[in-house]
Amino acid sequence: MILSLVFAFGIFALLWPYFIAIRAMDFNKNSETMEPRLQGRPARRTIGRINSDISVTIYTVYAFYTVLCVAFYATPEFRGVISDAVLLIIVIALSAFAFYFVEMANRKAYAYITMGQIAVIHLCCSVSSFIAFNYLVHGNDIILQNGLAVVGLAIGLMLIFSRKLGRK
Amino acid sequence: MESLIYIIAPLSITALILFICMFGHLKFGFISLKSVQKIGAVIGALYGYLYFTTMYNLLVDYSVFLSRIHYTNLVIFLIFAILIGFYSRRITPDFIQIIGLCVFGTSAYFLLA
Repeated sequence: MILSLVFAFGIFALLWPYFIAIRAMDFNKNSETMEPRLQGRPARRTIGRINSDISVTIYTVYAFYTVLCVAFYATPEFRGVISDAVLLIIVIALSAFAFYFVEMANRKAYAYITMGQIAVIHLCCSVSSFIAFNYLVHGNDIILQNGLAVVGLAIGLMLIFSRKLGRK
Repeated sequence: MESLIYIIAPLSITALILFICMFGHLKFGFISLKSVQKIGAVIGALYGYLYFTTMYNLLVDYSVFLSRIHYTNLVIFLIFAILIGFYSRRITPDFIQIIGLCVFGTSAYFLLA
């Protein structure tokens, strides 16, 4: 029980150290400080706004994957109760709803980080919400080997897309 | 082994649709956010239909584990991101990125094999 929740929370919490390490977020400076001038980015924002925007993106993507997990993996449980056509309509409606909101988050984050770094957010949020959902709804505890492999996957992708913000 | 292609192919297509929907519009700043959201919702509905039917078939008819389906789709999605990273030269032969690729590949093997 504890293992699933530890992995789910741990993988999700990895995102903040990662973005601090690549200097996309900075919680040490005063939040009203303006960001340094970067090549190809004429608009300058405050450090506080950058931290806030990236955090909002992470939470939105997490909510997106939670809705998708509910749509895809919870609805088959009701296949004896509801007809397949109605299930499909519910899934399609939930997917469209989730995608409508996540597009905004992706675009907001792209002002500060690269596409690969957004993919890191997607990986961590997808895996974290799936592990938590799989345990809480289906009662499947994660296997230690799978958990370590997922952490390795996240760390590997973080290393691949570890270029600093100024080199975007 | 022969049926592997029937698992990989539909999941690859859904992962490609997800990838295009997530990141395809990032370079097109001239398209308004509202338009992107509407197009995203339409593609999201298509993705929902295709992924759900694929997942449902694999889960119910072929008894593939749910986690295996989810992780396969996710890893293929990430492979597309890495390929675009190579194409756009974000991934260069830096030592740390090569280490990252090795860690990613090894972890993906242990997760899916």
